[in-house]
Amino acid sequence: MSKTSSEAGSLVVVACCCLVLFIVGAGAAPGTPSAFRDIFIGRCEDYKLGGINKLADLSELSSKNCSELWELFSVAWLGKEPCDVEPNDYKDFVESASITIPKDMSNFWDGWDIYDTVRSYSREGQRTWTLDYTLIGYLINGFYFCGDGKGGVNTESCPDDGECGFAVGAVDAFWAEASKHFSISAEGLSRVFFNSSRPGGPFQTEESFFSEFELCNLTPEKISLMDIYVLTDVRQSPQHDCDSVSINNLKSILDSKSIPYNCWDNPRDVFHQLCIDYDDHEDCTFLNDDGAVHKQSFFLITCIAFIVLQFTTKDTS
Amino acid sequence: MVSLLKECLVILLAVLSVVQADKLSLKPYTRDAVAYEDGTTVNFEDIFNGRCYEFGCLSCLGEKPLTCDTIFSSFLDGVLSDPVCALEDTAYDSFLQLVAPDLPVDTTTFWSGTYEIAHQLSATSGLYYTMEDTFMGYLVNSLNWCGNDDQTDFDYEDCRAWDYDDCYGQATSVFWNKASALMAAQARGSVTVILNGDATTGAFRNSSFFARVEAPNLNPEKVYLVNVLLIHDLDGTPFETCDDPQTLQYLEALLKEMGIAYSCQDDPDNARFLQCSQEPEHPECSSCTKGFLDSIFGSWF
Repeated sequence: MSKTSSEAGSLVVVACCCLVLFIVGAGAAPGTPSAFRDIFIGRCEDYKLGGINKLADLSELSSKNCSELWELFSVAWLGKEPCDVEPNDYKDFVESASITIPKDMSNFWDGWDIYDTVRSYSREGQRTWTLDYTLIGYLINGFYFCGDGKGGVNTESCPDDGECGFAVGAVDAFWAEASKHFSISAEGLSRVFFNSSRPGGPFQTEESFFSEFELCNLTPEKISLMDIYVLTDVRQSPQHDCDSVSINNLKSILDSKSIPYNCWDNPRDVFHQLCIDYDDHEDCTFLNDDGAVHKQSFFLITCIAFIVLQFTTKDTS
Repeated sequence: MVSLLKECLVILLAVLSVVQADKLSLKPYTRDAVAYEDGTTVNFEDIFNGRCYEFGCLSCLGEKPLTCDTIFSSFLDGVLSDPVCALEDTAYDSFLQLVAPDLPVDTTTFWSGTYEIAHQLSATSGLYYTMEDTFMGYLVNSLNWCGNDDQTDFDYEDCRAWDYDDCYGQATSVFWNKASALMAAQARGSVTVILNGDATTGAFRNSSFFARVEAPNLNPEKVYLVNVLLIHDLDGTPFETCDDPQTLQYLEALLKEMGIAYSCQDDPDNARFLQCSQEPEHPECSSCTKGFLDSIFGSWF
């Protein structure tokens, strides 16, 4: 799932006015974009051209009617009270906007701290597909929206993530239903990305969209392998890895579903991705870089340490 | 000591090849570019409007609400201002005034022959703004359009090809020329240009937008440096490099004449990391990274 994160300022407002908000029922997140329908239709027609997600099936897309999709989508929440929306309300929309996810392409993730990485890794759907590169996700990604309880839309403010309760409310219920559908459709090799430094552990079972809507909806007969990626930002040191309790919990759930898995701590393809923005970081240096003095000394020290350790190991054994 | 170091290198490289062979093998998925219609893109107005509201909404342009209808009419007026193939250079001027770019200093980025990697760089880093990241470029990027013969609406059936002899004032060609000139004219500070070092027609190709329109329209009073990022494919055959230029010397000479400094970098690390992320096992991609060392020495450190 994905949405824009709320502004820092609005968090302060939440802290100060919590009580008032409960009474008034107003939200802390931005309201519905005033041109939401225009943006939705524009994104939809754009997606149908095939340039947004180059692996989407054009003939399948040509059968989608963008105005009809808007009707199905908006009837789920428009006019209702912001929190009076359940995942099931989006069932018709999600089914109508559904497109085939190519085999081996599904890419799950959990925790906002990994979102940017998985997004750039997926290469706009050319390497893997996250939910937001499917038509369903692409149409809605980045927006908060809600009704006003009087037949219209609220353009002022909508409930923030989780404010209506887990997976309830116009926005969260949508992502819940979309996530469920995404994992039911996944086939072949699948991936899931976590940040090793995520507070509370990379894999979580409480109020996690991955746990509650994706993992449990995977079809064991269709998933040939789950690759678990435990990633650490180049500026941080890893807090968890593939052997930590949190990831072992995930492994045992996959075991119980008879889904085979691999787990990778910062595999090289993603590590290169993580280095793009920090190419002057000492961990991000190519072996054949000319004139990278600090890299050469780092390499020399490593080599010496390697030899010394080899001797030490021999001595002690 | 030297022989010890050598031995260490041999061991390390041997371990490296084993570890690399053992790691994930992920191949990039590609497909040919978007299929274009011969005429104006289907639902052009819907897409234009959607992008207009989206860009305006997400980047919060100004306090007053964006009037995308006005912006669209102004664009359409430009398309229909003259008969097909006879659009004046000024056709889109009033539209471009509404959406003119004003990018942060040192961020204006041009590309030629490097569409994919240039846009991956701009998407993953805040350092580069390309034409397609500006409002004017974003609105119509990858779309096709032209007016019909009686200048009343788009022609959805057939648009004339870019041909300077037969159709000089072609709708999209006039647009991209003018937008490119505008992009160049607003650049401030240092400018980046991402060029293709494998292209056999040369990185600084005479007929490219960059050579024809953008470089000549840079304002020497505002731009002090043009930095070339010269990209080579991991498995490509370099046609030219910064040290062995085949066409880049003409860019250097042009800039010198204009009073703008020139610099050139072969395959900067951030671009290499992007390429290596797709081909992690390529020999060029060996890096002394923490993750890599951990995978070898993990049990000892």
